[in-house]
Amino acid sequence: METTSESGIFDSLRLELRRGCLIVAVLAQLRQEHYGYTLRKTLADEGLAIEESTLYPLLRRLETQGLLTSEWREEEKRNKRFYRLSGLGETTLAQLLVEWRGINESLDKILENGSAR
Amino acid sequence: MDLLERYLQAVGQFLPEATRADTLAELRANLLEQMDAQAEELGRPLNDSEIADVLRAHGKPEVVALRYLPQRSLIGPTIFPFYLFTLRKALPLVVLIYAIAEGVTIASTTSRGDLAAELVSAVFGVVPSLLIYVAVVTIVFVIVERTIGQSGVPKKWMQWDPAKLPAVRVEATGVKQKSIAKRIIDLCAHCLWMAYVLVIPAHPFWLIGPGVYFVSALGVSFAPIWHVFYRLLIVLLTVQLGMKLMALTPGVHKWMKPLELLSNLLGVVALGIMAWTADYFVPAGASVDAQKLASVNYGVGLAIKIALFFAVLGLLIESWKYVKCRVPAGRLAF
Repeated sequence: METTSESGIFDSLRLELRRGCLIVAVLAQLRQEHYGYTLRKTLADEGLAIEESTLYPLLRRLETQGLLTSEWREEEKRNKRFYRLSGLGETTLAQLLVEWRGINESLDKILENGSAR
Repeated sequence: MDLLERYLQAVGQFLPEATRADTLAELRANLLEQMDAQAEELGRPLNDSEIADVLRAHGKPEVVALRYLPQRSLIGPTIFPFYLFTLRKALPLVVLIYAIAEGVTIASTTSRGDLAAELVSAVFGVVPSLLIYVAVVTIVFVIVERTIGQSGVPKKWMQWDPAKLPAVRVEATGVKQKSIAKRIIDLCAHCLWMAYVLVIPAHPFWLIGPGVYFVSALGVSFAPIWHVFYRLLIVLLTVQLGMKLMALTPGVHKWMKPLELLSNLLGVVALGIMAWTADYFVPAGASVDAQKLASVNYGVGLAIKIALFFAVLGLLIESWKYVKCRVPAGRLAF
């Protein structure tokens, strides 16, 4: 039976694991322009649900770091802030993807070796 | 939509003025979009309870606002290890400087009669001094964090030479160094204990409580042997204070156990001197019940002998443990 403490450890590790992946996912998704709500919906549709209160501040932070650009525009009679990947964001995303694929390959090898023994 | 406006107002209270309007406008647009999507699914506008559910799911206003703010900690995780290292390294030096400064002040300005009061004041004064020390170091590191923390730790801080690492210490079994927090608590507790012992001559009630009235009613006073015992006790406590100050310095803990045994031996000697005597209380006037006085002296003597027995037993056990850890098992076989 799973104890509360075990569940707490899993939640904490899961959060750590997701944190970096979510940033990569957000950057990758913003190769196309999105505003907060549609970005969240698209990510959720792809199987990567993210809380609004986490995503919206994250977008601000990434913009402050120069990885995103944004502009206010009216769409369907409502003013919305649209985000898109900046030049620096594209370079950074490419580097992060190389890193992520490397980690994935290594992890796969480790898991394969582990199950082969 | 009154609820949404109230929610945004609550979030806005915690946001900096410079970005408040922009952040709230974006938040409003996103929340409205979410509500519209939900209304479209239901085929009717949301009622107040459903709007409240959307806002509740979005998060408590102060928590939501905090996520938009930059780093809130005084000292970030990059600088924090250096902050902790500085605090720990400089602490023994600060305590030493304080002890020297107080010692010089007391020696140069205090008359003999005020000595106990001055020592008590010096012992209690160490706490605010340590708090000031922690505050100053914290302020310095907060400034460091604000100026260079964002661009990362300076390279110079990260440079080190493996060749300069200290040699591997051979730890004896059972001689494990206490953590710095435990050593500081130990020092503070000892300072309080010393302060208590120092005020006893002026306030004997603190030692024997209502027994003071009994001794006074009996018409007796403390025998001179107590003055000898008291002086020995002060010497013992001072030695222990020195040891506890030394214990704050890294690398001296291997000397701590023998010094501790030595101070325990001093305590046994003090108790032995007390146990050797027969008179603990002497008549203060002519009208003293000799039989009562004899039974009081016998009772006190017996209590001291029992204390001595346990002190000697404790010392022997501790000494045996210490010797056992150091001498190879083969050489201990009889």
